[in-house]
Amino acid sequence: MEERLRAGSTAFRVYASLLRLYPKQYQKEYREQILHTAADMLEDARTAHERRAVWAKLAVDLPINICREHYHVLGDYMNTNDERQFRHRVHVSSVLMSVPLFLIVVTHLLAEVGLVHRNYGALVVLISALVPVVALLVASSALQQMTHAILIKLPKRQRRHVRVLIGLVMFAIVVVMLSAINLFITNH
Amino acid sequence: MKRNMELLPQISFSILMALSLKQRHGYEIMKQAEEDSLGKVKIGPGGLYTAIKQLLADGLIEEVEIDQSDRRRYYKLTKKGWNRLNAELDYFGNIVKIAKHRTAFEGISWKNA
Repeated sequence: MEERLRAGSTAFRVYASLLRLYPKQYQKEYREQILHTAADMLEDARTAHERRAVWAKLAVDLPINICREHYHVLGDYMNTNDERQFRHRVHVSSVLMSVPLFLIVVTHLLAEVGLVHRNYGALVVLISALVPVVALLVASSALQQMTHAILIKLPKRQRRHVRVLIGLVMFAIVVVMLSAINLFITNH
Repeated sequence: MKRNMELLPQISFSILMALSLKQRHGYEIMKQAEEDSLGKVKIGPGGLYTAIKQLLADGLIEEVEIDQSDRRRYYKLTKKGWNRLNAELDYFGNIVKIAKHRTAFEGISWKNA
C-alpha cells in the first residue's frame, strides 16, 4: 500500500491522513483496506468527471463513517462491565465535564477585559452546549455502573440512601452546568 | 425462516449477494453490489468496511487466506451467511409472489401507488 500511497496525488495523501480520524482499532483493521479500495476507485475512473464523482463519494462517505465508528466505540465503551474501565470512565467523564466549564470561565474572564469578540463567544457557547451532552452521557453511564457496584456491597437498608444521594449529586452537577451556561449566555 | 428475523440492512444484503458468486476483496464487492442493484446501491469504502466489520462479527462472512503481496483481504460467505442470504431471498421471493398475486387477481396497479 505504501507504494500506491507514494504514487498517489496530494488529495489522495490528504485522504489517507484523514483516515487517521477513525477509532484506532478500526484503523488498525481496515485503514489499509479502505485505501486500497479508494485507490482502485480512482484508478477505474477514466475521465475527469468520473474522478470528481469518486472524490464526491469519498468526501461524503468519510465523515459519516468516522462519526458512525466513534459512536459504536462509545456504545461499546458505555456497556462494558470491566472494573478498570469504570475508573477510566469516571476520569473521562470528569475531564469532559470540566472542559465546558473551563471554556465558560476563561471566555467570561477574557470578555470582561474585552479580549473576546462576541462571535467567538457564540462559538464557545455552541461547544459548551455540545460537550456537556457527551459528558453527561458518559458520566451517567459511569455513575450507573458505579452505583451498581457500590450497591451490591452494601446491606439492603443502606442501598436506598446511597441511590438517592447519587441521584442528588447527578442533579446538582446538571444544575451547576446549566446555570454556568445560562450565566455565560446572559452575559453575552 | 425465523418468524422474527430482522432484515439485513441493504448494504449488508448487497455484500452477501456479491459474495454468493465467489470470494472477493473490497472493491470487487463494491462493484458487484452496484451492478446487482443496477446502480442503485452505491457504497463508499468507509460504509463498505463498516458493514463488513458487522458481518464478520455476526459470523456471516469470513476472511480468506490468500498469499498476496499487497495484503488485500478477501472475503467469502460462511455457512451461516448462506443460510441468512437464503432466508432473506425467501422472504423477498414471498413478497414478490404476493405482489404479483394482487396484481393478477385484485387488479392492483403498483405504478399508481
